[in-house]
Amino acid sequence: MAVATIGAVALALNAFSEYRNTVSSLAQEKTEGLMAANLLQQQAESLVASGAMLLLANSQLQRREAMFEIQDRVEWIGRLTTELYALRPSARQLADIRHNRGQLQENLSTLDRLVAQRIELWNRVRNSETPSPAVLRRLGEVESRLADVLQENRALSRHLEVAVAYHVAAIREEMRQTVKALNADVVRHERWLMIAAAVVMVVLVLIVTFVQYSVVGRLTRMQRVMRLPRPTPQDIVIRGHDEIASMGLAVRRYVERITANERRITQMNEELQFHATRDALTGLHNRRHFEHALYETFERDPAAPLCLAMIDIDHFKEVNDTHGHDTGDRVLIHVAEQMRYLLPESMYLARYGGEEFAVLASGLSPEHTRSLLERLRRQLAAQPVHVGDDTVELTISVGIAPRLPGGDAARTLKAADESLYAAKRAGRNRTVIRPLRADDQETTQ
Amino acid sequence: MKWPHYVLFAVVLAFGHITAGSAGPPDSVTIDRQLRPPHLDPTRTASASTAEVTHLNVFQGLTRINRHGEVKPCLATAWRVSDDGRELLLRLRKGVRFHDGSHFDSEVVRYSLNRLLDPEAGNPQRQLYQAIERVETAGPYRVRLHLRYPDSLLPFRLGLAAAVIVHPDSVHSNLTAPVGTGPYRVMPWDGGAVELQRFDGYWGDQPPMRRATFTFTANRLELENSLSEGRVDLHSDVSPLPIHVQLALRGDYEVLKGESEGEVILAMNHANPALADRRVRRAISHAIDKDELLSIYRGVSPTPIGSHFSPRHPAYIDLTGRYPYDPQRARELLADAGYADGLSLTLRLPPPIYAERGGLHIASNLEAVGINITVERLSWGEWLEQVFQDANYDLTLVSHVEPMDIGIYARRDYYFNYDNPEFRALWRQVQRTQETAARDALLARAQRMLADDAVNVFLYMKPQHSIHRRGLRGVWRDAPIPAIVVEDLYWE
Repeated sequence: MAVATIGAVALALNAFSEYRNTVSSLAQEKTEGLMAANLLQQQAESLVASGAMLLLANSQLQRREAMFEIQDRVEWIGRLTTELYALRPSARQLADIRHNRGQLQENLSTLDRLVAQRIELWNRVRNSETPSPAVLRRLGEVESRLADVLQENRALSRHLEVAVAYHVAAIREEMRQTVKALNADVVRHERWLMIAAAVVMVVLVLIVTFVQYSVVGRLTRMQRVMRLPRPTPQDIVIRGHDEIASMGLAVRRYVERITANERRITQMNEELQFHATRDALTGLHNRRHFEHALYETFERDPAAPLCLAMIDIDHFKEVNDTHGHDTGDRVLIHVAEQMRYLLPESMYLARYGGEEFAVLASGLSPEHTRSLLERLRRQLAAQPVHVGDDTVELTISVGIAPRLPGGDAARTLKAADESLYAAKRAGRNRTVIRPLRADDQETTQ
Repeated sequence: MKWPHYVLFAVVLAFGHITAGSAGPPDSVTIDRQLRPPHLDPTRTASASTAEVTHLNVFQGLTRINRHGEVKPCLATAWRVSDDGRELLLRLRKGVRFHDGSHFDSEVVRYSLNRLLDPEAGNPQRQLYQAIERVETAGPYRVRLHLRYPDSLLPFRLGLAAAVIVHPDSVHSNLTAPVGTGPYRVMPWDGGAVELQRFDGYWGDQPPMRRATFTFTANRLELENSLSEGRVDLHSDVSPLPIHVQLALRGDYEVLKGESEGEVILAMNHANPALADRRVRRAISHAIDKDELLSIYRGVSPTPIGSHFSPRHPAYIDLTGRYPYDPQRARELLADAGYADGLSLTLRLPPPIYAERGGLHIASNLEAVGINITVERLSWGEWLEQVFQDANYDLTLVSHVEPMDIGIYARRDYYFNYDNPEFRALWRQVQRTQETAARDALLARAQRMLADDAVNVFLYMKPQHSIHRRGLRGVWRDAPIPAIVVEDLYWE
């Protein structure tokens, strides 16, 4: 691009410089030559007029005046010829002009002498009443000689004019040729400049296309990827080994790091979530989460049937006291495992406190719930828990409460608790359902 | 898109290339003079042609004469005359440099003035400074001149071209490559046109004109052609040129009708036996018809004079009626002197237009009383050498432009060859007289003595009609001294 542009500029400058030289030559040498030749022609012509003035002089003053003028013209013609010769040294005709001027000068001196004689003779004729025949004869001779010299003067003047006019014409023709050549040059340079401009244009278009493809396009693609809500490293395509590629690589590493971080944070969140809702020992839901789920279920559909069961391990304190807390913990884990194993997944299971568990059975009748829990109770009672060398016999007591008509979660929970106590009081290792009572309805009103 | 920038760049570059060197506001001027200076050192020639180019442009004196003929400070900033008038103390300007970088100080002044007074140094105006006895430096920027006698005109004379300050290092090349303290320096000179270039190190304000070209056109026809084709911006003396009226009418030129201090005289060589005879000189004075002579001027009537003295000077006395035009009386005087049968004299004319055109009338006038005249036209160089220097002539017509120069008649070596001990004594008396009235009385006697002696034919004060292109300002109307002060010129 730079080369093309500098080339075009250099071409233009070169052209301008050539024009300047040509125009300078036109303005200086040619014009000066033409001016000199014109002046020369003008002076050659004026010389004839000065000659006439000389001829017409009837006093020495007028004669001298005319002669001064002639001398000035001849002197100037001499310098103009030299000047012209300096500008056009090859012109052969200049020698002619010089020669001609010399002859003319001689002729004019003769004329001057004759005119001076004529004036003097006239004065003599005027001053004497009867002019002597000798003077008159002399006057006649001078007049006739003057006529001859004048003839010669005219011929010489014409010759000089023609010789000078030749130069005027020649210089004019040279100038015309120069101007013509200049015009041709201008046209030629115009064409070259246009070609240069076109080349620059084409190069420019190519450069723009290349830049579009290699830079802008890649950047746009990268920008588009970066605008995605979740860009993945695979979205960022790396091509080549240039700055854009290394930038893409950096962006991709960055995206990779972000994605990895995000994944870790999600995992941490999940763990946190898990720990917030689960009991650490048994893996069942904790009490807080259970109550939250319970209230939510109650609020979501106040009319839907459900049952709430409270489970308590009988004599658990003795297990702890006899076998130690580790065994106690193992027992709790065992109960929880059995609950998960034997109870349907639709049931919401939780460790409610110490050795107490809670079950929320949505959409199940009290009897259905009882049969399921009874299976659990029987299973636990039938299978002692082996912890190391210890074998722990265990039973549970279960209290079930259906959703009380118009009752809220707290009352239902209380009712289930009451059933559990009822089961305990009745000798443990059993399931008690809280029957609906007449005052249930009232209480709610 | 970068394209337009490149185009712009190329266009600007190319355009700048073309327009470089083209003229902004005009700051150059072409001044034409008829007389080509013999050289460029005004301390070595009486030719005003040198002073016109160099004085105040290239060279400066301790004082300067302004356009009104007043004395002003120049390289001396102030001066004081002692009570007895025998001392002139000058304080010099500081920070002045010559064009070659040399310093200006009291030593340079002492050198310059001693050179001015030294007969060997060849200053033709040396006589004007005879009052100076001794030059003494009084500090680096103070100079004391001890005078033989009080000379109140000395500060004026120190402002003339003959007294310009030159430097000992460059004095020998000043003829062709002058080095002064003025606002312009001379570009290398080949003897033709003189190019002046503004001097960057000038002590004063930079003048408006960057460049001035002095051209010299002796040929009247060529001068008329140059003017009518507009090749000349200023020509300071076109009075007898018939074309100047037409040029002014055409509208592109303006004519300033000023006066000069130049007395035009028909000088006579007293070494010629015929002209040594006062009767012949008186005959010639009577033979000349001044009215007819002045007809060479159009639209202006120059002031006639009767002696070598300017009518503007307070001591002037009118002697114009001393030799009325009287051809009969002229013939009688010639017959008296023994030239009844005729006398042949040569009239050698310098190139100025007034001289050539006036010379024709004078030749006719003299021929009319029986003097046979041969007219010769000389170039300025020839005139200076043959007529002025070698006194090889009978008659010549010339203007003496130095102001207040009646003292030249006391010089025996002057080209008139006028040798009158009485006048010399009178002139010494003039120089020693400071009291104005007494001095003026002596000057009046001097004028009368020259007129009585008909030393030369005293013709008229030369008008100074300058022509300049419309828009050129600052041209001096009058020419109290021969100088064309480029510093004052500017384009409107």
